[in-house]
Amino acid sequence: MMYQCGSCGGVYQDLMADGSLYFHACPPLEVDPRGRVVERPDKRNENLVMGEPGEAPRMKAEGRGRVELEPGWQPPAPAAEPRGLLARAWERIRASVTTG
Amino acid sequence: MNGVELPPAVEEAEEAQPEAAEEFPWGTLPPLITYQLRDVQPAAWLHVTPNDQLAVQLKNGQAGIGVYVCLRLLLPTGELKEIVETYSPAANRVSETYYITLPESYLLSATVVGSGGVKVGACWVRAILVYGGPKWHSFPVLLAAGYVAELSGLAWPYPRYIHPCEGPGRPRVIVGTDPAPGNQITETVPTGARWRLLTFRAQLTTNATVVDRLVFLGFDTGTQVVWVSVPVFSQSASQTWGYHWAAGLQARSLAGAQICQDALPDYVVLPAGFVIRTITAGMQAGDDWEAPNYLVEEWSEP
Repeated sequence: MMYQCGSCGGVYQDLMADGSLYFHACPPLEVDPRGRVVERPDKRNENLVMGEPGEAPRMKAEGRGRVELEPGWQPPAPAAEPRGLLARAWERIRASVTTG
Repeated sequence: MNGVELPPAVEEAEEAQPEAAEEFPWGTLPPLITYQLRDVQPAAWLHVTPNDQLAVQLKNGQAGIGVYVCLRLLLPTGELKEIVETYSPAANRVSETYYITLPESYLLSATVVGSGGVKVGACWVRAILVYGGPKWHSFPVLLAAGYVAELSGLAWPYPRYIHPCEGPGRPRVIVGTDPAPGNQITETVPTGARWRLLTFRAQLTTNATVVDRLVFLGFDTGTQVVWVSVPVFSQSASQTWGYHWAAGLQARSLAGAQICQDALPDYVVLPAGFVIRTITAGMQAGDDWEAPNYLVEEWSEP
C-alpha cells in the first residue's frame, strides 16, 4: 500500500517487492554538512522500539499519522513557475554553453 | 539326487571323495556382530525431562512466511513420537519466542525449515532446550542457530551455529520515501537490521530560483555525523540531475546525460537507527528529490 505522511507529506510504500517492511521517518527541517540537524516537532518515525519483556513493540513517534493513497495515485504536477525576462535570458545563455 | 541326473563327471567326483565332503562341510561363516533385542539403550544422548521445553526464537524480516519445526522423540514406552509446529512470525525483525512442551523422552532429531518463498537471510532462528518454561533460568542445550530458507534450515544432530551477522548478508533493493518538495531524503536503518550500503541513486529537480545547489550524502546517528561525501559539482536552477553513489566510483559528472557519480566508503556497516540522508546546500522550497532507490546488504541485528 502507498501512504502519505501527515507530518512531512512524503509518499512511501510500506511493503517492498521482496516482502520486507519499510519504516518511514520524516526528514528534518534543516540539516547542514557539519551535522547540525533541526528535526520537525511533529516528526513521524515508524521504526520500532522494544517495550518491556512481554510487551508488543511500539512506533517511535506517531506524528500526524498517515493517509492511505488510492491505487494508481500520482503526485500532482508542479505548478509552472513565472519566468521573467532575466530567467529566460539566462537559460538561453546556459543552453548555448552546454551545446557549444 | 532327487531324481535329477547329474553329469557323469560330477557323479564320478562325488563317488571318488565321500570322506572329504564330511570333513569340510559347506556353509557361510557365522556373524561376528549380534544385536540386543531387549533392554536396548537409547539411540540419542539428549534426555528430555518433564520440565524441559523447546524454545524457538525467531527474528524475521519478510512478510507472509512460515517456519516449520519438526521433532522426533523416543518415548519411554519405546514409541516414536513426531511433533510438528508451524509459526507465522511478524516481519518487523522483533524477536519472538515460542515454546513447545515436550514429554519425557530422548530427542532423536530436530529440524527447522522455512516455507516456500523464504529468502536466505530473512529469518534467523535459534532453537534451545530450556528448563523451567517461559520463565526459564537456564538453557542447557543450544540445538542450532542460523538463517532458515525455503529449501534449507537448521538440523540437530550435526548442527551449525551461525551468528546473525555471520557470512554474506541478504541483498535488498529498497525504494525509499519520495519527500515532499523542499525536503531532504532521509532513510533510517530499521530496528533489528544491520545494513551495508552498496549503491544509492536519487534524482533532484531544481526550481527556477537562480542559486547553485551542492548535494552531499551522509551517514549519521541522528546526532553525530560519521561520514559526508564531497559534492561533485553544483546544480543550477531548472535542471534535473541524477546522483549515483557506489563504492569504488570515481567522482565525475556527465552534462549531456545529466548524471553524476561519486564514491561511497568501501565497507561501512550501519547498525539499526543510523540515518542515510542527503544534505542539499542552497535547497529551495520548490526543489524536489525523487524517491531514492538503493541496494543494501542486510543482516539481522543481534
